[in-house]
Amino acid sequence: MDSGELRVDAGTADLREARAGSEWKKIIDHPDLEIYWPSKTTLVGFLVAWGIVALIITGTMILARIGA
Amino acid sequence: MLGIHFLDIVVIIVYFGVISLIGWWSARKIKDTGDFFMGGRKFGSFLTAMLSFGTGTHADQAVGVVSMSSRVGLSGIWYEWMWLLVNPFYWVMAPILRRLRVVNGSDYFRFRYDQSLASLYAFVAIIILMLNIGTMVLGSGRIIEGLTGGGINFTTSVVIITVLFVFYGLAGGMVAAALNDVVQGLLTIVFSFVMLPYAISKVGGFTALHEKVNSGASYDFFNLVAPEGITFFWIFMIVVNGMINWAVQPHTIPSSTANRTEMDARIGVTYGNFIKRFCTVAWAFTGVAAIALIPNLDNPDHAFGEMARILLPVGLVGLLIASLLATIQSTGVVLMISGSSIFVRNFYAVYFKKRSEEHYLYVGRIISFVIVAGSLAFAVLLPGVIKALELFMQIPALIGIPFWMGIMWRRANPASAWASFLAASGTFLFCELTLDLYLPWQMVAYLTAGIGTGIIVGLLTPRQPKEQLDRFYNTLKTQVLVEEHLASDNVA
Repeated sequence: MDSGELRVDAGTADLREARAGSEWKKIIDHPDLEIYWPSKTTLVGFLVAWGIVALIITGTMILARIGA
Repeated sequence: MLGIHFLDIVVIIVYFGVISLIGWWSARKIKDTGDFFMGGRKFGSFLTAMLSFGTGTHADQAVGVVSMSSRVGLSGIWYEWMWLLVNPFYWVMAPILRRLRVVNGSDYFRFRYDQSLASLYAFVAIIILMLNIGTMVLGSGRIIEGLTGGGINFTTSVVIITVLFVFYGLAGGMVAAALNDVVQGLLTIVFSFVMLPYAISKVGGFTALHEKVNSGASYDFFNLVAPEGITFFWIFMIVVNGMINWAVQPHTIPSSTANRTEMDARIGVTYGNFIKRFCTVAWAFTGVAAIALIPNLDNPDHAFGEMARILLPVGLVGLLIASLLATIQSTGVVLMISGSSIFVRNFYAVYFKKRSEEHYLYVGRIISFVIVAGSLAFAVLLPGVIKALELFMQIPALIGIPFWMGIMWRRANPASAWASFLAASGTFLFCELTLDLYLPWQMVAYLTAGIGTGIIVGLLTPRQPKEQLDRFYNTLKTQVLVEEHLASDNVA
């Protein structure tokens, strides 16, 4: 187990060059900011998760009103 | 015997027999530190979900929610539900953590900043882990004390709990913890809900519950938001703070990165944690029912254990104790291993290079004992579960600010990260020790201090080398593929 220097093997470095690039669009076009628009997978999954949150909260409120 | 029925003791012994077999089977598979710390990075969605659920779910949380709900009503649920509103963000954040290709938070700080920040994180992480394990042991000790009517007192409970998880963890490592989580995760779900029908029945139904709980109350105890204490502002700030806090909790990165792909990380982390939000609902209603069933409770932290003692039949009490202990076993193991992993990789290996895998494994096990000793000190010194949970909400956020600034802003550098952490920590300590601030205002104070100072120092000091920053941000933009292996990671 070495320490200090980062280890990135050749295969991974190639992968990074191939994948990193034009598909990434910034939300705010500033050279120092690294905040990007989410992918479709991210967006859909995020919205579905909020749907589940809404269901859980609504369900709990309904439960709390039983017998009131 | 010991305040519980003989049959309950038999159930506990049988349960632990099965769990020990799982630990023994897992131990045979450990060959190196990758297996011990990361489960060989082979976890799929299901195992990740159960690991996230099991690691993120422990008895002190049930104790905390039941305790708070028995005092303020249903709004006490937000002591855990703060994470419900953070939960959708896991879907976004889990692949970011996976793409970092690191083993723990310390690796991240070295990758993005430098070794000094990696060392700082290791120090903070070990404090967080000690606090986390200490809170867990404290909460579980209170449950067992309540369940047995004092037959097993708090001190004895703490000793039993600690011995169990230390030996289980040292033997089986991360794989044992994950498999144990599958078993105890299912039991936790069952026990979160099994007590509620007994409680409602004993009170006399839902209508009687409303009448008894709200009689003489100044507000409706069944509202999710209280007129004071747990207000909308409280919930908002807890959620904002939680988003900053989550990524730097020491178990988060290991849980998010111990899986094969980004999708495994997303599904496992997001939905594993959703299971817990359902359990929280049952805990809160149990706490509200405690207002009606145990009106003269001496210590709110005893509410969960007392409720179980008066409601559950023989056999189920034993199973609840066994399940609780198993929860602590698996969670304690993951937390303990996360701490020893951080120390070995980010402190020890920096000064003692090129030793054998067996040597690092041995050191990791020794450090685990040290973490447990610190945890026991916290368990004894903490005034109660609620205070412990409040500290646990706040302390990780102090180091979370430079973490997120590093992800989003190229101008963040080691100087700004240090300044941000010191400003946030100083403000937190000042508020905590000298002011009696409302919790959300305290969060506003230290978050503002940390973010503001980080930005100012970042703008006034030199940038980091472009090559280092490009390597970091390119890694973040590069999808994790199945064929990648631990050997190509950004670890020390």
